[in-house]
Amino acid sequence: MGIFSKLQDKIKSAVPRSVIRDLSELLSEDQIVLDQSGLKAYETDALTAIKVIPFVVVMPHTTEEVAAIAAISHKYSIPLVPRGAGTSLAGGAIPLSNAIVICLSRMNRILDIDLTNRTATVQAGVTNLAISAAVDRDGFFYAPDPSSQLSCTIAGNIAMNSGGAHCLKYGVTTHNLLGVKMVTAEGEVLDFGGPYYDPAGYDFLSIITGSEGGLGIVTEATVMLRPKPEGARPLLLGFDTHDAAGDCVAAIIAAGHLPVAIEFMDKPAIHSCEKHANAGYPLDVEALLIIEVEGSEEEIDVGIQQILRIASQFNPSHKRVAQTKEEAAAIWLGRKSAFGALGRISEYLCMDGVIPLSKLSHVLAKITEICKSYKFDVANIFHAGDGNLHPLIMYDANRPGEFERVEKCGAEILELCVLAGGCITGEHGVGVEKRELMGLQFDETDLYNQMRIKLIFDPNWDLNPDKVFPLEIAEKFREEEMIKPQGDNQ
Amino acid sequence: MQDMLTPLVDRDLKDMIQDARDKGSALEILGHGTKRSIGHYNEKNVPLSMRRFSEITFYEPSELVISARAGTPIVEIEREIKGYNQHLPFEYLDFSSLFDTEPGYGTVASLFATNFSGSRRLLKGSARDHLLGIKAINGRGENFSSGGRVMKNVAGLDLAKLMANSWGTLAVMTEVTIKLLPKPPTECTLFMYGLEEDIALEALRSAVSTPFEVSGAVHLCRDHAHPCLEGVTYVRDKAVTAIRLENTAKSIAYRSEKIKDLLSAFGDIYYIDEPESKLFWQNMRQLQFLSGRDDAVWRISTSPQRAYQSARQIKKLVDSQVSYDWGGGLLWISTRGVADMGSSDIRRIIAQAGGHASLIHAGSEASQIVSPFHPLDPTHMKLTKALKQMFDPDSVLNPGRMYNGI
Repeated sequence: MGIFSKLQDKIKSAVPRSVIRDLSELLSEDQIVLDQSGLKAYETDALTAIKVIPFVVVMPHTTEEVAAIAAISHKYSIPLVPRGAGTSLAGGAIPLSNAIVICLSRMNRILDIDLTNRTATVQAGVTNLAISAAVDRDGFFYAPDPSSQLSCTIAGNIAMNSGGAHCLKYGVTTHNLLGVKMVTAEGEVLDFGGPYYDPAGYDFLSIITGSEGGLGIVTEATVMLRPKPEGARPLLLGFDTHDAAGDCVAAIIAAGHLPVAIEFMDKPAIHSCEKHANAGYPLDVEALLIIEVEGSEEEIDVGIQQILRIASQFNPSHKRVAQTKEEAAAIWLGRKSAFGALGRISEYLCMDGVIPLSKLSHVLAKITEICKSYKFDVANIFHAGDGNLHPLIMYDANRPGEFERVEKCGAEILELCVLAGGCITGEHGVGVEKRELMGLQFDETDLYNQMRIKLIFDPNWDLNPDKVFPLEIAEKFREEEMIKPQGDNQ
Repeated sequence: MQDMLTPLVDRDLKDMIQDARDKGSALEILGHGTKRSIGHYNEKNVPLSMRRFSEITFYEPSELVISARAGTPIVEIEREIKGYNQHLPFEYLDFSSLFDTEPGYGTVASLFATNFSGSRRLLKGSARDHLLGIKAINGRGENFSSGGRVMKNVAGLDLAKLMANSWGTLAVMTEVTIKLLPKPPTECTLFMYGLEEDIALEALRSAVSTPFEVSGAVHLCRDHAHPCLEGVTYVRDKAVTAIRLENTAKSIAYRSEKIKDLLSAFGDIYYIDEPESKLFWQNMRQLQFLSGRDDAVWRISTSPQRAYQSARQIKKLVDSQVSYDWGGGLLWISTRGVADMGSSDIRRIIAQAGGHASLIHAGSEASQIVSPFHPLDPTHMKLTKALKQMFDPDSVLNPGRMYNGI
């Protein structure tokens, strides 16, 4: 045991009653959840296999309240777990039993829309889709589009550096974020960036984005708005082999075309999505590509013809271009509800590995092999243009020991992705789910260089303390490099 | 001048860093030195050039990704990717005409360490946005890496992008991996001459708010316009407002007509296609509009909404010429004959508007009296110092280049 309390002890340690007294002085009654049934609603996020009832949940309305809550957490040195809408598939918002969960969903005001700057400034609990909805009539949108965009918050998007189907063209959160207001672990309010490009000095936004609530609690964000395209239309291409579909994607990109989205589904995914959404997906193909082209009607026609010409070299057994808006919407509904559709069939663990496109067929074959060895069924959904692979491994949650087995199976798949030249997470984040797998991608020195940054912002290691970094390495790091304990441990 | 250190492999670089730590000395981290005139020069720092770290280590055109060791010449990268009709989309700036140095130099890592993006930044993002991964050695002599060769990667903190605009003060990059894009098939530019600044900015705003993917939106004042229009048009003695479209010939024909219709109320619009259009934007990228003068040059990032008012206030107080890029979000200001190069007025006005002002070229005046980079407020300086301390605790890497004590 080191000179400082082990994280595990910190997690389990009792919380003094005075924390509640301090919180009650700060917030009104309806902003504090203390009763067991209320707390139960916050015991997990979209990684539902892990459940922990937190000590207390608070729901601030303002940055000032967030700062005061952080100051209380700092004063008692108890963990603070930020939460947006709780849609994290990686367990980024899973509580600790002695944590204050700070839920930002009531901070849902759009503060400013500036169409001259093409920016929106919003409170952190505003949902992703609400931003686009607010500027839709003016012809703009906010580009990153995670599948959970109806409910996920911009704070969560920033924490996880979220992407989506259309980020092939428009980039992920880090490419679309201009500024944040952030509360530090000690309750200080900091501003980074603003409604202009490329802030002065070190690029703090680059490390805040994707820091999973470990550097601070983002309370406001300024994001880029983009003009909506004149139109967009998807086409479907079905293939008899995964190889043919993968080669077709590579050929499209190599020929200089960058459609706004290229999505890949394998047979099990096609079947469950079709059953759920009646999108008109072909059921007799091994792989399906949804490719979306943007522009004017004529530009779309030309773009689609070019893609069809390239695709013909790979003998697609099914070709269909959406002819109406309704048809296009149905095609996307099928894809976007894929996770929900699979969820009706079985519990699943959704992986989020990334691979180089050239390794697609090799990796898919291996995934099938790995899942078979565990006797799990798997469906694959893939942002093919950027190599982001989502194998959904189906398992029986009611059988004891199954979750541990499915986790092991998932870890093997992610190891495969890293060995193929990819990474363990493309858009969901690390959370608790992939925390112990970080070693696949990073050596200890890499992680130390990251953890030193956390230490600057969170010297007591209170902010979402059990996420991202492998517990043992994080403990060793703190023993070696934390200078002195701060705050009043009571 | 001190002898230049030129490491060949990681081991050499680590030894040199260790040696500096042992001696209590410091290193000036360079590539080819093309941007050496920007930032504070500290004669005590021993120059170390990464130019021998030169090799393209990986290129997969169908994945739009290339990796190269830090000192690989940019021209070599461009030569390689040109064959596959791909390009570095952020249109990096070439300072050779401004600093009167030989063109065609510059190393790949310097593009990211300094993060100077050109006109296409407006549509396609900055250099930083295209940095997928790095290998680096920090001031402790530790090798570390971040990111990789895939487009999406959210595992852990993004130390690769943190290196952008850090000017070699946190770590020395040894290898970079870059996202490329297909080169647009062709381009055209719409010119409007002699517009008043506020009218021009309104025209740019209208153009960049359309769905037509404007990839360049600049307004050059009369003084600045002349050298950029050389060989491009016959009109050279007027301010010019330029809007670029890049796509297939059919598409830009359609889109340029749409934009012409939209902007017809602002004045006459002239359509220019290749090769003149390319030449104009090459002149922009090479900062021809600022070269050959003895002026101090400021580069200011601010919100387009506040740009015009800020420029007006600055012009009232400082003898200056102002041009705009990024649809109004980037100001290039040349000042003449002002004691502090206009620093105090410019920075006060920009701080009020939101944004920051860097002194790129000090003209004949001594740059030592003015901080080249926009001063940070005490909170940001505290964090900046803490970050520097974590990566480079003995201040071995480029100390003083950006800020005193960094």
